[in-house]
Amino acid sequence: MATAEIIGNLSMAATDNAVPIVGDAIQGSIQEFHVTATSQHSPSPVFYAPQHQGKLTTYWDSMLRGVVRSFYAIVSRDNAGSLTSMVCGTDSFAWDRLSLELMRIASLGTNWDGEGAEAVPPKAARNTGVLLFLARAAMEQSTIAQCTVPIVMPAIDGGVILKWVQGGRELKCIVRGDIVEVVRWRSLDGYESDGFWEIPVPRVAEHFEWLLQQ
Amino acid sequence: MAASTVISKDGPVPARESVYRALNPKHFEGALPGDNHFVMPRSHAPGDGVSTGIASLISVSELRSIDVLKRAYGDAFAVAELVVSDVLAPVITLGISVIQQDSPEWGVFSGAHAVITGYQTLAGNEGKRKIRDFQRHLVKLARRRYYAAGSDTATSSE
Repeated sequence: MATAEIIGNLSMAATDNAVPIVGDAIQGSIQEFHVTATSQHSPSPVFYAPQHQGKLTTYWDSMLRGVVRSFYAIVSRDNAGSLTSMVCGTDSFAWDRLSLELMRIASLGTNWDGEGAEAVPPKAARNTGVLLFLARAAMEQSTIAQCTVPIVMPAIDGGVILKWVQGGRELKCIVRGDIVEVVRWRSLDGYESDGFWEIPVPRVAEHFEWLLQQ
Repeated sequence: MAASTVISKDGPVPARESVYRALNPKHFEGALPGDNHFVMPRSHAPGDGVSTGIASLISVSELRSIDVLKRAYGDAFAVAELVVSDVLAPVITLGISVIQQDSPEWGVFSGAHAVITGYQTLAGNEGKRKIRDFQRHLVKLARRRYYAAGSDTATSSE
């Protein structure tokens, strides 16, 4: 599990003193940054969203309540050296990236795709954070040696998609507010799904357990 | 571009045909075509559907030249190629079809426009499940043959 300094005051969080190591500085993108003040590389991806702080605050609150266990990658304007205190274990890195990606998704505004996509409702983003918590807990309890991690992405009609493939099984969850649409496939090559559920967030845990069965 | 194919206005696109799907760069899953490229809300009006171009009537480069697509996706967007028979194989009994449908927004290529449609009638949770199965199927087909952004050569994730 990652440990790092939490920058609780978002007004202090910025990427003014950091530039991307690679690629373009796309608003809301996740990438490693080069911290110019200290000439050090960030040890974990940095979330770059300087124009979305208002909306981020909402999501940040849920993280401070402990819904998301680990996430920390906003560069402090006045304390770039704090990056060096971040220690990300290999096992947790992929999950941290998911939390970062979820934060990026939560910051997307209406028409984020140029084709009229809906913004992700804050409740859907928060509940996806809960799902990630449940997913990680299920993985940690699983006896499978090589576990994958899910991917998350925004749904263009509002909500967050979580897809998870493990072994020959596939699970797809679409989080819309308090209700999650769950579809699962027993085979990657097969066409027809096992079933379709619309259930509250806590009940998705049983589907994670199904996915992670030996 | 084959000129011999005859396709009826508002009629089904022949099974042997292929259709191109312009891929919004914001909808990729990593580097691959994703679910958001094939969203099929049941709230779509009957006859509306997943917009495609009929491969015998429009080329990839011509598709990329259409203003409305260029404005939305940029100059050299990625394109998936789907064989109609493959698209319909698992859903032919569900009333899903690929229908030619003129699109004035496509200018001189208006007649090359087609839609994958018919999913609007799938009702209830069972209908939702069937749409999810079909969406996953389309994503798989798109990953099987697509033209990456800026490329004129088809590639596959398989």
